Amino acid sequence: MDQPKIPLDLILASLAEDTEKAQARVTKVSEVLLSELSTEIASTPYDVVYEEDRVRLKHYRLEGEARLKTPLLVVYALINRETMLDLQPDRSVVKNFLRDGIDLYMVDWGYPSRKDRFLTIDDHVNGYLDHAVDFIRRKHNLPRINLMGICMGGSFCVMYAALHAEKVKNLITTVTPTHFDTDTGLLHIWMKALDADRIVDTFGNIPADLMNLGFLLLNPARLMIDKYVGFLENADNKPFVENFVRMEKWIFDSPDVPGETFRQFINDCYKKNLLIQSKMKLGGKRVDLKKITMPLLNFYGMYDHLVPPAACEQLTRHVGSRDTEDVNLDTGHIGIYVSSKSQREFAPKIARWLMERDEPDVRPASKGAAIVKFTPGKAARGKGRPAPARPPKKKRLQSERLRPAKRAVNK
Amino acid sequence: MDETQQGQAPDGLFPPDWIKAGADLWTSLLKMVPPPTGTAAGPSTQKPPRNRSLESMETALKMWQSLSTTMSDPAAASAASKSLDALPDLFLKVAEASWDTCFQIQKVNIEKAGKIGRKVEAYHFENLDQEFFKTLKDIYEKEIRQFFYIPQLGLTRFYQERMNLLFDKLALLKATSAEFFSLLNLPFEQTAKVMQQEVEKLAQQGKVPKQAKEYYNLWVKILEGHFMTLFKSPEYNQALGEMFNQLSEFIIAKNEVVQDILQLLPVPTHKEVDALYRDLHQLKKRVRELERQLNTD
Repeated sequence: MDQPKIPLDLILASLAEDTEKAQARVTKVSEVLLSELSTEIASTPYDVVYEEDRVRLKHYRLEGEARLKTPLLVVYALINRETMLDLQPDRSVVKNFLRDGIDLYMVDWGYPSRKDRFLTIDDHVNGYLDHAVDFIRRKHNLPRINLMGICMGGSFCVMYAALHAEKVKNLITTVTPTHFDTDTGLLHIWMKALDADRIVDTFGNIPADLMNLGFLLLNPARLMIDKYVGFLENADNKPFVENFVRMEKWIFDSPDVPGETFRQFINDCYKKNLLIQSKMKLGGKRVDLKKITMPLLNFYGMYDHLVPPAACEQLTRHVGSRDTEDVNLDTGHIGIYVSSKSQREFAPKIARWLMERDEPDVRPASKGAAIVKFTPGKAARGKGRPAPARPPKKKRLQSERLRPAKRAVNK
Repeated sequence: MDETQQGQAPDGLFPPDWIKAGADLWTSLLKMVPPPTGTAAGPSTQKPPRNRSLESMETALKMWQSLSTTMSDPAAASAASKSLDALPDLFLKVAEASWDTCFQIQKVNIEKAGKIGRKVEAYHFENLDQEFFKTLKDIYEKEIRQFFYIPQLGLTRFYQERMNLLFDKLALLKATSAEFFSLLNLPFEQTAKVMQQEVEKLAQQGKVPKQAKEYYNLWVKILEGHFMTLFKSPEYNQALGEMFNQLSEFIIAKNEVVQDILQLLPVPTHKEVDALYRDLHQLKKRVRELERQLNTD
């Protein structure tokens, strides 16, 4: 077989032609890299209103009046940080929520130290998260608040909503794994082969760098080569460089994961797939998904290689709520929050959905439409389940698909 | 030594005059040893303290004196002489045994080296790329590793054992990582081959790329595909799992050695701190539960 002839002469000629341009580019690149770059992330102002151990509750400052009566608490994963939702000024889910008049709180899990290695999922869900929810309920004198979870934080929210349904008015899950018995994502394949017990016993907390290396290895061609080739190609473009550095800052700003939490998440979820079967237990209590009776909005990414649609889409079929909706966006795991297209779709959709379900809490119809009395910290217990504000049938939305993503964005 | 000589120095190593002069020398030296300082001050009921160095010297001189006296006895001198005569034989035997041991070890090593060759053959080295690291690891495990597990003796045996374990785990980690990283290299090799085929196909269609960037895009796309195929393979998953296991084993062994070192320093060890954290965690949970019960009441 003849060797294919690569037109080296043409390629070299083309390169020679580009030499002058390249020279100019290099000059521009050095100018950009040596200039003052704006690479700050998470710049939207907030107040820390509650703290417990390493965990902080952020309350973002609204510029005007809140348009929704019920505040929204966003729960991020323990992997990476919640700053991703406020990565850059023109692509900020936080800013979009505030613009839509949502009174926004966010859990900042902080940086676990060795002291936190024995913290379990129960400590996070029935401890820190529950305390944050109680704080907001007390502050706003409300029996229930809106809850939104992201990735592993979404799994925590699902567990929380099942165990504390009386405190959650509406539940939003985004790229949230609940069904782990799938081979469509590499993470699901690898986690099954991982000896979590041995790793946790060895490391205590799972080092962030180890996790990040694992994430990079999910697609080394893109994440370790092509991404930086792209950077070099665009290094003369200041806004591109600034946004690229912002993303790099976020990706590698990773807290360690508390050891016992990791152990339980891998063993109970990835290996035994207990959550979707309503067999998982936290603090001795079974997480029964049928107890999730509040409206549920479930987002996932069609090209998500970390949490594939197969890991997310079953949730709405297993909960007790009749008001559920799946939204399958044609983007990746992070693209949902940072892509320009999603910026126009994602936050506004949530704001609309919440607005439609923002009526004050009422007693069941038979007892008259009276507002439920609420004594902060106590009254929400054992009050029974309020009737859903709107009881539409389950629906599955595919209409919000965007055009296929050209390239996976980082993770 | 002939009879005449034996007569002059009967059954002895040294002439009798030498022996007598030696015994006299030690006796006179002993007399020169100064008395304890306390005796000069007059009689005392309490025994005065003695200079330890003088005591030692006195003991040594007495020993030499008794040795010289003994050697003046013909029977004793003869016995000593015979013992000394036997020394060369003794040294020869020790040397012989040592060399035998050395040759034995060398023989075993040569045998092991021979096995290395045989193993490579057995693993079909025509598949060198895939099997090379596995073979090296196998050789290490079967032929070298046991040296780290030779039983240690004495007071420091446990410390030495932990140190040897660390060396063993480090060697295994290196072998496993080499195997793992060689797997990660496979997509690059495969991509280079597929690239040739792809370019050939494009050439046949008359669509040969003219820009370097187009080649890069094609290469990175093929590379991505190969990585995906590799990552889904059971071999990769096994290697990944093994890599994590060996890393864990190494870190555990390293921590044990560090623990030994930390015990020498005035700082708490990880084990102690972890025990404290565990207690703290359980206490906090109990307090929270009690608080909850109080609020409910």
